[in-house]
Amino acid sequence: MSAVRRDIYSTETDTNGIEPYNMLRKLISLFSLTAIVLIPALYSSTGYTDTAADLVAEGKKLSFDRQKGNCLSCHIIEDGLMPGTHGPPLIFMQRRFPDKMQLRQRIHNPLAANPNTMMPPFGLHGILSAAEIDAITEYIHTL
Amino acid sequence: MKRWLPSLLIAMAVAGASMMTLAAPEDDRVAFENYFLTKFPDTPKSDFVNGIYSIDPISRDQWLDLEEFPPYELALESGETLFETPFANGKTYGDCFDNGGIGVRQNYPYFDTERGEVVTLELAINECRTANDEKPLKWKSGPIAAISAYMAFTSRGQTINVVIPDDSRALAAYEEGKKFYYTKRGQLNFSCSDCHIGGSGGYIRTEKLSPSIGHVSHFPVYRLKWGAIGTLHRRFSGCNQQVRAKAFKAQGREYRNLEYFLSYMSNGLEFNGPGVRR
Amino acid sequence: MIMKKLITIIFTAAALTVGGTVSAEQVSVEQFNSAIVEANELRKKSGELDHEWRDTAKLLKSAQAAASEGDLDKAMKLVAEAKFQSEAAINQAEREARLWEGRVVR
Repeated sequence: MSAVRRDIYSTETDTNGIEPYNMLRKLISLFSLTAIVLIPALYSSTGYTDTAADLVAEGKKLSFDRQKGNCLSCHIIEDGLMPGTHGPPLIFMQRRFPDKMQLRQRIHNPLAANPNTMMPPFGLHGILSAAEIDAITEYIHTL
Repeated sequence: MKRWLPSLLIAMAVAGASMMTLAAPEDDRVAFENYFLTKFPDTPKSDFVNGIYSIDPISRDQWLDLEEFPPYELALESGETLFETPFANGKTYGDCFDNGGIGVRQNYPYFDTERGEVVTLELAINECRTANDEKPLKWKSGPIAAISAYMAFTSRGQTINVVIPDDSRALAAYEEGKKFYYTKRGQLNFSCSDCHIGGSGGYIRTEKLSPSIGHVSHFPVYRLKWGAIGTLHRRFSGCNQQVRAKAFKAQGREYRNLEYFLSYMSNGLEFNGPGVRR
Repeated sequence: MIMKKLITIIFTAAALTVGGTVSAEQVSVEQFNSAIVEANELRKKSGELDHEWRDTAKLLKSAQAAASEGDLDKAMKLVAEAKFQSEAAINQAEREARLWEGRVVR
């Protein structure tokens, strides 16, 4: 933070005297400060603290966690060890679910598609929170 | 022809539906047995009494090694001692059972038409105690499992032959057990049938799921996970809790009816308890 | 200076966002007591239908414990979760009454 401040309030004049360049630097600095302050504020108000990549990583962690998604107990998932065999391998997910929300719905309540499925209704039965299902959806959709 | 085809189909559907509700338990059993015989063609029917080991050659070898010095042996010894030790009034367990309690495992579970309910071996053991002014034992493990194991051991090779008497309450008990078996329960929403019919032979992580046919034959079992011998109803409550359902009372009506249905499904196979399981 | 103004606006906005998420409402003991009674009735109903879930009673017990320690917010959250579970279990019972027979091996 202090590095950014020094930049903005710098009294040094640019030695080669190119004003537009100086202005650009100041603008970028202002942007990054805005981002630093605003992004966490925005995310905390919606319950997120992660960037998109972090969300996918969090989703992977939840998917593999035996106490959470435990998806590996039934599905083959990329580098996951000791997968089960009851569900289909989780591959080509974007082709199978072009609409990400459809995938989210399948995780939330698979009974809607098949009331006899072995897959637990993670959202309908409160096994996972909405935020956890969001993260898992983000991850699974990358597969 | 095309005009009356839909009504014919409806008539057939209605007839089918009414037959469904009247389906005799024997039809259920034959379909149940055929399902597993077709699904596991390499397993001889009589071998299903070995549960998971009847369909999993890898763990079968480990199990056969365990059977060399079976961990249930101590329970068998203490079961025999308990069985033969007279009550305070001088009588013994043997006085409560046919043939002095030796080789009678196959008489249970049965539907008692006088009482109007299913009687299991463990229920009979505890009722023998209370009839002789002794305190009942805890249902799921310890002495009752040891006594049951000893009585099962003396009955190895006897055939499972559950009879449903001509009594509407007996059929109702069977139906209740059947409904229990096929009903999804708990937060995770699993039925017994999900894992042990459709899921049998498949893997949950590295764990292969056992077929339901023959499930009751080898109880009580010594489970390495328990580090002790336990009864069938202990296993039932463990399964229920794993799917995050509240377990029912051991030897309560629900589990006795489930045992009645499940045992009927294994009619024709042999009792081979006690067993050892992971 | 414009930048200083901007920064002030940004910080004010951030402060408002954070402040806005804190609830001003206070739960009363009476509210908790009636909520836990209601949730417990629902739990019993799910049990009568043979569909009670494993952890529902534990949630209510924890809720009671939290309330005794004066943490009513936590207590109410636990009651809400127990209530959610019982309602879902009752729905499950109704669903399964229609579905189970379709699974019988034929």
